[in-house]
Amino acid sequence: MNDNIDILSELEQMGSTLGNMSRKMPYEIPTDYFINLTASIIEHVQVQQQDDPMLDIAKAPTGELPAGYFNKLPGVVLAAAKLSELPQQMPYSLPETYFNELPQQILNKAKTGHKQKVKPTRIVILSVRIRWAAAALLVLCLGLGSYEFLHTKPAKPEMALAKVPQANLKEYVKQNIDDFDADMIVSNLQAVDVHNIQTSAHQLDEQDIIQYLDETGWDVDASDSKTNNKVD
Amino acid sequence: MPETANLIDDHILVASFKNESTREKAFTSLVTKYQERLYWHIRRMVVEHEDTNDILQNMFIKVWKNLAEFREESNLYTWLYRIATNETLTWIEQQKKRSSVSLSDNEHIFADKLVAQRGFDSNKVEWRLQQAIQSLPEKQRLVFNLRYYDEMPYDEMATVLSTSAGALKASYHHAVKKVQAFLLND
Repeated sequence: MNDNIDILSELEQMGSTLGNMSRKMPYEIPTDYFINLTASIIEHVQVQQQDDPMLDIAKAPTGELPAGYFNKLPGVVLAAAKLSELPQQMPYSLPETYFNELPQQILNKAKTGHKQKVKPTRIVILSVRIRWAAAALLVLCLGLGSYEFLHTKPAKPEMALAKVPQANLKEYVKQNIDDFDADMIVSNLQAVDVHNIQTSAHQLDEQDIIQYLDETGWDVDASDSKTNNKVD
Repeated sequence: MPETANLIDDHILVASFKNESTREKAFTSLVTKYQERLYWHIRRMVVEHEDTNDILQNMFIKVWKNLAEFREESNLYTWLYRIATNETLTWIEQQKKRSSVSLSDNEHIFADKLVAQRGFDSNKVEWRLQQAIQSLPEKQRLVFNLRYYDEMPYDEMATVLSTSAGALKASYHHAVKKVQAFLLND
């Protein structure tokens, strides 16, 4: 193609070993391919230039027409022509200068809308220190919250009742327990083997009782009298 | 640059083609003159003879249809290479779309076709060189082939590929390094 360019020298200058290699293509080609190629191409071109035989087929009348098609055709065409002559103007009325003013109106709205949209959003840029402080605070809150959640024991009814004065409890019983309730409690007590309970209560070690009271939130001093009452 | 005599020959060919009475003769001369160069230009890209033949024939049919309007603003052979290149790239794209394999596998289509060629021998350096060239990306392969085999100047290559000469020069240098690395590593 170009005798002025010595590609192999150029490659040698580039320090490439490609300059020493053969550029002969190893592919095979059918025998006489190039001899026949021109004739083959011209044949293709001539085939393409010939009239498409399909066009002649399409010209021949094929298929059936609806009965009286050609008789009705002038009327159909005339109706279509008359339809096309009908005024295309819409019957609706518009303000006289509507279309003259519309572009300006839209432009004004667009400008106003644009201004509203363009209203700058305030962006608060936090310094690195503030970010770290906020992160540390968040971690601390999470830690404390988790600790509280995991270590808080549910309130026991015994502990809640211990804080209620005895006088109030007696008053409550007076007001809320009627004769029927009293009979029911007595019958329930009779069903229980009270002697056994007393026996097992006698067998209790004093330390066990104190531990129980501690666990359930009773003051040992305050509960002494109750314990004595029970035991007695 | 092509030789002056060659340009004059091409100018006469185009003028003869534009004359109805000498059209076929001029076209035959044109095909005879450029068929081998263009055949190899295409085959280096698509590897198989049948595919090359299809592309080449379509390309020349396009030349037949459009040569009468050719204004000779560029050289005839540059114009022919441009058509051949576009036809080849279009054909490759069609093959990729028809192929059900993934995009990454598409890049190996031609490498596989090369191995399937009659007489392929991976121990022979000429086949190894073809394998190295097929490992290049499409556009880089085009640039390498046009420079290494067709010895096309960069400014003319720029017309064929619609790219700047500088970019083509860089692309060719990269291609040479890649081909060399391929041959040394294997």
